[in-house]
Amino acid sequence: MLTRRSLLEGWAALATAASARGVFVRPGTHPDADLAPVATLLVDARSSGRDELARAAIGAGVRVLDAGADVAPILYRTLLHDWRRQAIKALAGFTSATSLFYIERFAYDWGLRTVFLARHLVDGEDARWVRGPECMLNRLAVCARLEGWGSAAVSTSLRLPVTPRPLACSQARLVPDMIADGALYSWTLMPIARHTMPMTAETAL
Amino acid sequence: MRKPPGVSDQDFATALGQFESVVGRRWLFTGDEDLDLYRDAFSPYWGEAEERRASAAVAPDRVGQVQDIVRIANRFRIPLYPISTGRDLGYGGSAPTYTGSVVVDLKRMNRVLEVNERNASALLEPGVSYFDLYQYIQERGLKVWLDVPDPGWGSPIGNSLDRGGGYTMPAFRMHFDSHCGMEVVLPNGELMRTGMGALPGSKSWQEFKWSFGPWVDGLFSQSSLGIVTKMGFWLMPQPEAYLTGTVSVARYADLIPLIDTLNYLENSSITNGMPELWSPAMGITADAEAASDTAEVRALVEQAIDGNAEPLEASGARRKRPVWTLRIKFYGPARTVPLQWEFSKERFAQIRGATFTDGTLIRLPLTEAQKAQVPKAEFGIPALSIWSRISRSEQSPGEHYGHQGFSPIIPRSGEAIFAANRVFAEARRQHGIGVPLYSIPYFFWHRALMFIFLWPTSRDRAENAKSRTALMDLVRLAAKAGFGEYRAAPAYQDLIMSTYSFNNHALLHFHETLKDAVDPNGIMSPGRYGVWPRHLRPRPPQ
Repeated sequence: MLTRRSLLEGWAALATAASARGVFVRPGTHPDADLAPVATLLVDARSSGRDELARAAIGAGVRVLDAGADVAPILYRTLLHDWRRQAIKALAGFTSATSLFYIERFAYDWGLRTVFLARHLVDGEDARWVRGPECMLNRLAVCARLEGWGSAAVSTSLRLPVTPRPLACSQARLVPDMIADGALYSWTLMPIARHTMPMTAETAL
Repeated sequence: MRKPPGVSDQDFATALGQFESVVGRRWLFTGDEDLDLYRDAFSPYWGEAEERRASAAVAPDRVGQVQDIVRIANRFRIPLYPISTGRDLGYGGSAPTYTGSVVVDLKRMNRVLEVNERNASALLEPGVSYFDLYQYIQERGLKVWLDVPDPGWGSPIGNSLDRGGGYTMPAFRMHFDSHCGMEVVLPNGELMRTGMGALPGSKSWQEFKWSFGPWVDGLFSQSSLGIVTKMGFWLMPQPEAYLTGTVSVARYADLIPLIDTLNYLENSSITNGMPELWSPAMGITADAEAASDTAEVRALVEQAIDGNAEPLEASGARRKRPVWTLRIKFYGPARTVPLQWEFSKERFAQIRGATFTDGTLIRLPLTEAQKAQVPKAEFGIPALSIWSRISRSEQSPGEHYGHQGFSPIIPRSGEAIFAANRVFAEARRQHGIGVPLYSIPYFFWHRALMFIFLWPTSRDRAENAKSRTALMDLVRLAAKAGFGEYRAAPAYQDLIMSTYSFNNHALLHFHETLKDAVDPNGIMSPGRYGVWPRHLRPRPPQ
């Protein structure tokens, strides 16, 4: 059972967890769906990997948005602004679970669904590992060969060499990258469902 | 296709056709994919037969359309369920209370009709979110503040009608209390305005709440008697400064004079922000990083609950951790808030050994850099940074988790906090209900205290069943002790209404009498907050 205070305390505990546990990579909702290029990457500005990811994303022609502890400014000033104008495009991120939660909830209303998710952990050797089921790692290998989305998602969101081995630790050893409120997640949202959000276009108030 | 119970296929199809002619094909939603948007993401019955599901949704963009929809619903006995932004997660979200209802999605009615800076008031439509209103005010440089809940992704109308709370001054943080005047579409389709809005030509609609005769606004909060299509609010004039001050005391029993003094200061409007209380000696602190909760401390807390607090006090003294720390806040002129804090210290100093920490005076408005550092809700800034840890877990991080809550109201006193913790300890020890070792209440309400207990919801039926059982058991135990819930998810509304049983449930009978008179066809939000229309009564006990 959780209280509001234990939620806050739990974040602190999560940030100091030293042992590597499994990472969860969920199969895409529509694995055979056509994949659109990722247009935007959200990066947690507190992350030490932020600059590297941002450079890779910009180089791939992907817009980079900095997310902090409060994702509201990005949502309300940029993403919802785009979505209301029917510019609903694939979105990738490297953020906290909190940011992902709110973006997912809003994005759901606009037909975007989470097709990829990985949790970054720190193990006792101060490395970041992203691991997952073979099927997802294989799918990453496929996506990596697609133009646009695959290369953008992999190179900017994951920074992983792809391997088909099941539950293999990746070969990447990166600088530990945690933020005060917990682990970071890599994720991708794709416009899959029909846009059904009942909203008018923005009107002058 | 799901349809409302008791409605024939033909009637439902005809009604849907008529809804479509009112709002247009684009704004009627009947497909499974569309209706997924109207599931309660935090439902404790996710995927089970008891999960409340909509049969359709319709999105009007003006009051006339709402009236037409209601008239059609009456003609065919279609249950309706209005939502504004549908972000009331934890209390049902965008899902109806009664499966098969047609959700009336008011998000398209999203106009800020007026913000009157001189009068510090606003008039809004239900689809306006806190962020919309905040942005409106910021873009125009108006010197008024909102009071926002946390997270701030809902709507002022939706949140206040559900009697949510916020974080600034008492006059504004009890959101329903801060409203002034509403416009309502009644279950027969008639349009009514309350307060001074009932007087044609009145310019006081957002200034004077009561008009003449019985004051009816409360009938539309947490209720099923109409669809609110406009609502006025009093806004907080932007203060000049903000200051906090902290007082710490060393003895467990000091909580009694601590709360009594706080009450005096709040009731005298000397302190006017939302207080916060912690127990560093028990390992309950504002700073999660500094929290510590060892087995030794837990044993001491158990003893304190049972009436022997000396070991806890001794341990706290040794670790230099006070048993209680109270933070109080002040909004007001930069010259006077320090004086208000000084006066507050004089009063608290009557508690032997009380110590104080002065906060930093913050001049307002905040700079952009300051906005990133302060607790935004205390400055009327809607944010999305709270909770959601339980939206993912290590066991199932790809799934949407959520929470459900029990938030009982207790009197505003130290004695009541002690008594409540004895009740919760009994729940934990004797009934195995998962509650914290020690619970510290929140001070949202000006004249009462409230605890918040949260249980996760998931896609695991067994886990949800356990959480539901724990919550309902605690509701019953708390009610026996005189602690009632103030707001709940639909899954628990019948149970909780049944606890308000004075004089053979006279309150419920009164609600039902009103319901039968105002909504004889029972089309408006059946079952909301435990009030069912005649044709759906009686309900089986939970």
